[in-house]
Amino acid sequence: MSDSDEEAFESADEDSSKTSKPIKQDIADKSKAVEKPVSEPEKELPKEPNAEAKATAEDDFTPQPAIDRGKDIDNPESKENVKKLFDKINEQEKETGWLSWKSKLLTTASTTVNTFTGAVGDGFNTVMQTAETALGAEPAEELAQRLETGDKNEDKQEVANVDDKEADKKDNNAWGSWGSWGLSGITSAVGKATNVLENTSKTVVSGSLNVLETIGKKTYETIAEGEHGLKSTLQKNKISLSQVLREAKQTADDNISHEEKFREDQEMNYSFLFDEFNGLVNLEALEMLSHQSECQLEKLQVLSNSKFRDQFESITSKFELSGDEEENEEKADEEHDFVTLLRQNATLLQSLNLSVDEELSKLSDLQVSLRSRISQDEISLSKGESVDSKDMYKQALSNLAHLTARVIILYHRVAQKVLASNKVEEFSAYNDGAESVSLISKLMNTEFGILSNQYAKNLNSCKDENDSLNTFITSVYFEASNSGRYASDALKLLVPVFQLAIAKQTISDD
Amino acid sequence: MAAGPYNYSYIFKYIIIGDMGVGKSCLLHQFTEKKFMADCPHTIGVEFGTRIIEVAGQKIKLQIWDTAGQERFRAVTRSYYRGAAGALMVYDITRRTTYNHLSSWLTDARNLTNPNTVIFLIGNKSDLDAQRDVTYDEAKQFAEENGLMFLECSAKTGENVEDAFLDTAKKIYKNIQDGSLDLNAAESGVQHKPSNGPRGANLGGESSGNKDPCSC
Repeated sequence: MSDSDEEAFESADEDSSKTSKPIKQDIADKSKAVEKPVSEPEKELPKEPNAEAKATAEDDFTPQPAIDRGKDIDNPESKENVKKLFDKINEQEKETGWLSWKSKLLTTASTTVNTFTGAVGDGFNTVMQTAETALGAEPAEELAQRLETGDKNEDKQEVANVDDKEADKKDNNAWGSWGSWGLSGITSAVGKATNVLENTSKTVVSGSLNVLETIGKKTYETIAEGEHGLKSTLQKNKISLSQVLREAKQTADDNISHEEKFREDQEMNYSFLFDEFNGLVNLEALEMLSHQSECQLEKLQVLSNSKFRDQFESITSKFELSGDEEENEEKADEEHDFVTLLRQNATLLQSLNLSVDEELSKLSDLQVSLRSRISQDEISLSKGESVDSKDMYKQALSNLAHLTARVIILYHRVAQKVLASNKVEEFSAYNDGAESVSLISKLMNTEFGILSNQYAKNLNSCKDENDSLNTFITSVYFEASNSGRYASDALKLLVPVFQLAIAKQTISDD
Repeated sequence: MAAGPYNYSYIFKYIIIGDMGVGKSCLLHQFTEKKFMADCPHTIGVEFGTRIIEVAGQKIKLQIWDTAGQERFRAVTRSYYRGAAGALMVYDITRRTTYNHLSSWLTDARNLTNPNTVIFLIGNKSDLDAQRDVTYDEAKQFAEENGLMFLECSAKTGENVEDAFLDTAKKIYKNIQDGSLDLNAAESGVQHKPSNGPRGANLGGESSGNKDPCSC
């Protein structure tokens, strides 16, 4: 289309909207132009990305807990964003006719997209019907028929259009709320659509793009058919519904890949996983108990008291692990019977009359399930079955984090019970208890060593030639040694807890 | 350790306190699982629950510390108050003694948290109205006198449970917005983490301000 043509349409359009007088010549010109712009937007689509619309869509996208999903539309901030967006469009475009049409268009579009969301799998026809109903458009056959019968009704139609415009001008007062409803509707609908899309395959995504596109086209056609002012406006601003929808789809795609990346990051982040298994919060709570015990020991002024020195030193030495790396590494080469050893090591705890059976059995159950999974993988690999190394790596990290969290939870529970115990125990009971926990910690270190060796061995047998394989293996060793370190550090937090219990016991004896 | 991926902007620490058997754990369970736990064992020390909520468009992770109500754990649970942004103080509307003990719980909450900690009074078991032993009005008055937010809830039916947790969060968020709660101050009970931003993992034995003065 040449420039002069375009100008001609514009001025013609301005004429008609300003004078509100139907001019026959104009009608003829415009009806010729109807077909052209329909294909236009497709070519020009990516040119003018609407950054703000994207931002809004992104803000609204991130999945929310179910309860608050609905409240989003009322959210003043997103309303604000939407308003800003529309204010900007308003500035660019002063034609009232277009404004109200646009609001209608967006409202309709959001309804359509909403409907569409539920119908992703339902086949194109249903969606088309819905779109047609939502748009108040005549079915395609009828449209075609009418086009064939020619322009007989053009005069009447134009009059109707003018009436529409006037009615729309009145509606402009309600523009703010209507418009913002329309767009937040779109964005939340896109959010919903994205949720649906997340769970479907790429095929459905690309399939649904086609549907979206067709709906966009159809909507455009319907509107362009009735409203001639719109098409020139769209040409001028290079904004079309299909463009808006395509951008929304692009944003949704970006968000999906962002979400996938995000979830992936989480799955491969040890500290995140450790937190997920409540390791972090239990460690924090254990630190609080430890700190509080230190404070009370200071208040009791027992730390410098020679009477307690030997006992305190004995307890402290119990919790200082030998830290002999080589010894641990050697042990890691030998298999041990974790469950039996754990039970044996825990027997001494019974002298303190602490019941931490629940924590102990959860710990041993977890270890058993981790080991059986490793054996399964080993068997699969030896049979030559392909195992995804990334999945195995994720599993290794998650399991190390889980096991570490379980150990921390056990220590925290021991601290709680030692401090809450009303029973007065002999010093030897505390000494035994400390010995017991310390043995468990050593056992855990060995277990972490064995686990990392086995994971590394399995990872090495993966034949999917992942470039990151070496990084995975290094990372597994690294996090396994970290796991052992966290457990040992957490163990030391028990020192003041035991010391306080001993001090209290001795003081109450006096 | 690598920066952590987090899909929330804030973490608020809550602590639930109150006498044994008032339904603290059931409230937590109702809030996190939307289910009523009929046979709830006594809590030992502390149990944890989390849920991500949204306030004013911000995703907030609630880290809820559900403490044991048994007297023998009182010394232990007192250690956990520190750094709570919100404290839910629960009594049982059918047992007057649990209401009478509130002043003691309130003293602990005031002494062991920071001045900006939002304290929310919850009269639980509102479904058992026939056995009511504490009127709404007197509890409301107690709350007003002490500057507490107040609701009667039912962990069984779920009535008002959501509101109690969310209203607390809104109040905390408001305190952040108007600047009365300083996020940089130790013990604010709030961690701010820009979504997807780097976050130093704090795993070693030195997190959460061990150098603070003793508050015991």
